[in-house]
Amino acid sequence: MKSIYLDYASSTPLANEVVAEMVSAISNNDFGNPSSVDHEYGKNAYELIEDCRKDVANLINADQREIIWTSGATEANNLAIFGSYEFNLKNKSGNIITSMTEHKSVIEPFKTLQKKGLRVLFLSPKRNGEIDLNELEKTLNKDTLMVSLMHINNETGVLNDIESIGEICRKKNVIFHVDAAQSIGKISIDVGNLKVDLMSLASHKIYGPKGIGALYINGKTMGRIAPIIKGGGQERGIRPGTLPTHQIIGMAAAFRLAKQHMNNDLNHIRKCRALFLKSISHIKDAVVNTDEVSTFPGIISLCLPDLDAESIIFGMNTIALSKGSACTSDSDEPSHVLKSMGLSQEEIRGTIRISFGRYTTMNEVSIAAESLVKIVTHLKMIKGQ
Amino acid sequence: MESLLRQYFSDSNSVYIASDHDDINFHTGVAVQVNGDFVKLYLNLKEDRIIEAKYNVSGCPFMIAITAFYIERIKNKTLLEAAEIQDFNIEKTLELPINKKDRLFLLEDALKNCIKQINRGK
Repeated sequence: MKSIYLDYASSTPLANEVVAEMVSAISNNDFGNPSSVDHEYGKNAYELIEDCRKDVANLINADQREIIWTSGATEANNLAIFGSYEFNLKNKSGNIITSMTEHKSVIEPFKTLQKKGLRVLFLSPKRNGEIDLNELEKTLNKDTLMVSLMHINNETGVLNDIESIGEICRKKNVIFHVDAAQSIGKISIDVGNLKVDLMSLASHKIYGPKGIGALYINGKTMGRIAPIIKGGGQERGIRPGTLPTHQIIGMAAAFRLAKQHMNNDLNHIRKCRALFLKSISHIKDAVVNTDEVSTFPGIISLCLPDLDAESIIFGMNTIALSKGSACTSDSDEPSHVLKSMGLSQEEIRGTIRISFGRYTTMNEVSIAAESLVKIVTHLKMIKGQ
Repeated sequence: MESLLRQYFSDSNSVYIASDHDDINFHTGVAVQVNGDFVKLYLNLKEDRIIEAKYNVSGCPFMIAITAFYIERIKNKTLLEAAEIQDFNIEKTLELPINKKDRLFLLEDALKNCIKQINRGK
C-alpha cells in the first residue's frame, strides 16, 4: 500500500492533464529542434514553445519575452545571481543583501561571490521566520546593488512581503530578485504590480515535470544578466542549450492548470491545515514554528521539542513527510533555516514539515494526524514522560 | 533489515514506567549525547545476575531499536556478560549505518554508569 503523500513542498505528482499533454508531445514525435526553424519540424517545435512561453508569462502577468527557460528553479537562481554578477555587478563595489533562510541554490552562489570579493549580507530572520522590513531598509544603503529574498520559504512556509520589499528596492534603484519556486501557481503573483526585476520559477512544485523552470527578467528595468552557460544563441543568448519541448509543454500545462485552480487549491489547503492542527491540538508541547498570518497555509513546520524528528517520521511510516527541505533531509546538519530563526538544537531536532496539496484528501489529513498522535504517545512513553 | 529495526523501535515490553515499577529497587545508569540522544537503563539484580531490565530512551530510530534489542538480551545474564556489548552482535543484526555506530557507545556509557551505581552501593 502506498504511503499518504504529505510532502508537496518537496515535489508534486504530475497532474493528469500535464501527463496527457507531455505524452501527446512525445507520441506526436515533436522531436524537432526548436532552433532549426528552416524546416517544419523545427518551426513546429518553436511555435509550441512560444505558446508555452505565453502560458508561463500569463500566470504572473508578464510579457512572454520576459520568460527565459531553465532546467529548474535552482538554475534560475544561479542564472539570476551569477548572471547579474557577470553582466554588471562584478565591475562595481558594493553589497548584496539576502537572508539566511534562502534556499541553498541562492546561498551557495552568494557564498561563491563572497569568495570573489563581493560583500554579501545575510539577514537573520525574526524568531517567526519573517524578514524584518525595517532591518532591511536600515541595511540597504547607497552601495547596495542587489537584494535576493524568497517569496515562500520551503521549510517553514513563511511568506515574505515581496510587494513592500520591491518598493523599498525600487526607491533605492536596487535589483530585486525573488525565488518564487514555492509560491508560483499557489498564490497570486502579478509582476505588473510588483517591483521585481528577476524571479525564479519552478514547475515540479505545481504538478508539472521536474527538470524545467524559468527565469522572469523584467524587460523594463535593470535586471539584466549575462549567460552563465556558454553555447549556442538559444533564449536570446541568455541561456544556451536545446530546449526540451515536451518538458516545456508539461510546465506550461501545469501553469495553465494552476491559474484555473489557484483559488480552489488555496481554500482546500487552508481546510487541510485547519483540520490537521485541530486534530493534533491536544499534543502537549507541539508548536508551529511560524505565525499563522505570515505563513503559506500549505506548509506546517511543526516542532515537538522533546522528541527526534527522524523517529517521528520513521514511526509514521505510512505517511510521506520530511524533517526539513528535501535538499537537506539526507544530511545530519541541522536546518540552516531553523537555526537562523534562533530555534534551539532540541527544537530543530524535533521539527517536521508537513505540506498539503491539490490532491490531499481530508481523510488523509485525519489519518496523518492520528498517526502523529500515536507515534508521539509512543515516543514520550519510551522516553519516560 | 527494516522490519527488525521497526520491530524493536515499536517494542515497548521492557520500557520503564514509574507507576508500574515503584515497588522494585532498580539500579540505574544514564547517558546523554551532545545531539540530545538519551538512554537510561534500569537493572534489578539478584546477586550478580540481572533478573529484570528496563529502559527509557530518546533519539533516532536506531538508538531506540538498539536499546530495546540489548535489554531483551541481557535478562538473566550476569553483569559481566551484559557488559560485553559487542557479544550481542547488535551492529550486524540491526545493520547499523556507519553514522549511527556511536549510539552503541551511548548504550555502553549508560551501562557503565549503572555498574558504577551498583558498585557504590556495595
